[in-house]
Amino acid sequence: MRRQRMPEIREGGVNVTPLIDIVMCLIIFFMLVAKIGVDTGADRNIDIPTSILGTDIKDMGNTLVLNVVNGPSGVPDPQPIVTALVKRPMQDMQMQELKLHDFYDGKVHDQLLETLKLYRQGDSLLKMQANPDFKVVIRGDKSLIFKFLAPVLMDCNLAHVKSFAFDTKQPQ
Amino acid sequence: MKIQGAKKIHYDSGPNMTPLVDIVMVILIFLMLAGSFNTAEHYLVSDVPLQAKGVGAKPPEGTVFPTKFTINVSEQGPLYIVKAGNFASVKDTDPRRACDQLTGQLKDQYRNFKDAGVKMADVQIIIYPEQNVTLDGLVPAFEAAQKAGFSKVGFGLNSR
Repeated sequence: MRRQRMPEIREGGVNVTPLIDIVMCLIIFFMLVAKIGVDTGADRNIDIPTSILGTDIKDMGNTLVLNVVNGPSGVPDPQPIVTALVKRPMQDMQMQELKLHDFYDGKVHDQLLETLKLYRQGDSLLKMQANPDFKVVIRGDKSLIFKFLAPVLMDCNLAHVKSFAFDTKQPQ
Repeated sequence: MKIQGAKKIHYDSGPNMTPLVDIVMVILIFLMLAGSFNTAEHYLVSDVPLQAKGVGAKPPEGTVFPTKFTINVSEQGPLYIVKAGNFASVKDTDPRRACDQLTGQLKDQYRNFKDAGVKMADVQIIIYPEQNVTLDGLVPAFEAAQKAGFSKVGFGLNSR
């Protein structure tokens, strides 16, 4: 009697199942950890100071990041250059320079102070509610001198901002 | 009768995983490149309102004043000078080194306050920097106060 042989079975290629398992785990990890599409308005070109201490701010939703660098010197009214990602009427969030004093429409506007008050005290037109927990994150260049930092802190105070924080990097 | 097909080589007949792997790899690379993790940054938080010398009105009677002392920070040429209250004064060319010395003296002061029965949660340190002091020089002073155990650190203005 002739013995029937089992048909020879060969794999068509490498077994990709473990690869897919690992890659799927990585995708889930990155989806949970990575902040995609979350723009706080932090200017990455600013060289921030180093600090060993420091805490994380968990609730970044209540914060406004102010990028502050030294302004031009040798002008009559020297001002720091402050930029932030802010909401404007009938517009989306956009990066904007907030001048401490700006003259237009026949009067002086304190753009920074007005913006901080808007975030702190709210505005019915913009459908923004008063936020007593509103905080300011100051992302200042390490060469920023106190002469330019002080007016920013003063405006935070005038807008009744409860607390502010300096953005620093951990030492390498 | 022989069945010819039974002798032929059988390849794996599962679903074709190649397109799935391609797409998944593209998603993975996108997430790795687009995601921002910001793990190397942290914040020095201050919840003490800005203090300004020589402004304001007379406070109402019965007002309880918090215990506070000042740290004056100045830069004179290459020297970084920090003076805390009337008990500490440090000069150095390196702000970090100066503030390490300051931390030790502030820790002594912290102990003195504690021994005197002062409620430490109410003690405020107000940093008064000179106009030309950089943020890189301010942060070590801020850190020194926090390292010594003082949690309420704020800033003050000599004049606008």
